[in-house]
Amino acid sequence: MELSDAAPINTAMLNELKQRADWRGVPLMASFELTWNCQWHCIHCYVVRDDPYSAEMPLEYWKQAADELADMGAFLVVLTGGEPLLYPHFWELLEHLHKRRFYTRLYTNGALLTDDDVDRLVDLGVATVDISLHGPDAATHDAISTEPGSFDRVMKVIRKIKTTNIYLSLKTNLLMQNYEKVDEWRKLVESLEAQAKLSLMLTPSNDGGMAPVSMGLGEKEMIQVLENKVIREIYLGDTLPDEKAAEKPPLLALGCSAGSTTINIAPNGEIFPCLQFQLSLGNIRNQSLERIWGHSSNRYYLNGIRAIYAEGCQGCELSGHCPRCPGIAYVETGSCWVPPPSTCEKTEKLINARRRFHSKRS
Amino acid sequence: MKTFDPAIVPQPASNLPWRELDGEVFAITPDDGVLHTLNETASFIWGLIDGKRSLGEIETQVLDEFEVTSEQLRDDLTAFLTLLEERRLVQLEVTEGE
Repeated sequence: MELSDAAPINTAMLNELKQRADWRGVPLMASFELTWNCQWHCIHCYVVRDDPYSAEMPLEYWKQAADELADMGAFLVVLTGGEPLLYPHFWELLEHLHKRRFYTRLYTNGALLTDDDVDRLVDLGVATVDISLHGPDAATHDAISTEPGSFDRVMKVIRKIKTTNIYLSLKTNLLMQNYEKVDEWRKLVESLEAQAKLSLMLTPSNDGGMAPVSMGLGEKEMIQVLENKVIREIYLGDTLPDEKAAEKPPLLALGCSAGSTTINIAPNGEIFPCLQFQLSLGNIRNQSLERIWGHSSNRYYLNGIRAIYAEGCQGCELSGHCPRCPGIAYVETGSCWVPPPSTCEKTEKLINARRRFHSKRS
Repeated sequence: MKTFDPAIVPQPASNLPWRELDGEVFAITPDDGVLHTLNETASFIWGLIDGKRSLGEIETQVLDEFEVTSEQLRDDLTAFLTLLEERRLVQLEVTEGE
């Protein structure tokens, strides 16, 4: 979750803002996981619906959290889930966030939004909406969402959103079920004048289950995708490791904002360093958010993430190409200090695919 | 706003998300997603823009805080508010009865 890909923003100004927020320990960006319920059952979803943190909170706790965050300097709030519109008090909370002058972003599958709802999002200041669009056609998308008719429903909402000033992002992960249609997907998103967000990375389930990760592409499929010049150069990257990478100084920092300028609140009030990172800092139903943020021992523990290099990543030739995430490492291994095996495997596959693709061409 | 009008009551634009960090205000205009930042002096004045204080009242408070002549301040406030309005960061309204 980044402020920078929410809308076109001056990068230098934004980086300075984030740096100052970091120095001051201000949680600039907060994600609110309002519920882990969803009317879809996407085959690669990481949410575990009967997770102990999944019990939904009354509205007053969310409003209190929003007030505390505003007073602490938080600016961006992402409303997410599950499907956030399934939270019974979604609109009341949105109104409160609007009143507190937050820059609000919505992650949704879009299927529950009516035309009037979209107009309401505009009136309540939602700046950016991210919608999951898993393929360029109903057969592909519906097979992944497992919801017949979901593609048509989502396309209707997308067209309505495009009549407003809301900045729209359409996103998907590349899976075995949709990779062959990635170029058609890209063209559809471009024709809709939305931002395309495409990812090869799949996240383990919140309970550490690896089923979502197993749906990712193998090396052969990655090579096929890389043959598309646009996808290769714009979306997935085309660089290869420097042959002399091992001679360079080790990576000094993981560059992660989890627990420094990012904070996540789960449906039951549990506080985490970010959406991905399941290391609890406390619960807002038992303590004030300000106290948790200022005094959680786990948060002090996390300060090292940005100042230390993970054993195993040090000197790795792939480190410059690796989307290393301490949160995924923690879910997968129980430690945020070690390289997450699924990420190592995926990165290695991608680099090998790029190498084989380039050697095929030469 | 071409000339200084003490009756005008400025307020942050509706729908404008903004915050203060380290004594400096930043905001993002929703229509274009542009990030705006104000320096310390501008942020002080922003803090007085609340939809209740008139420009005349704001002028008085700034004169109390900074060493500046009234004439210079009126020019500066006019230019500043005009810029804020052009960038859709504030709305300017005249108080009732004016």
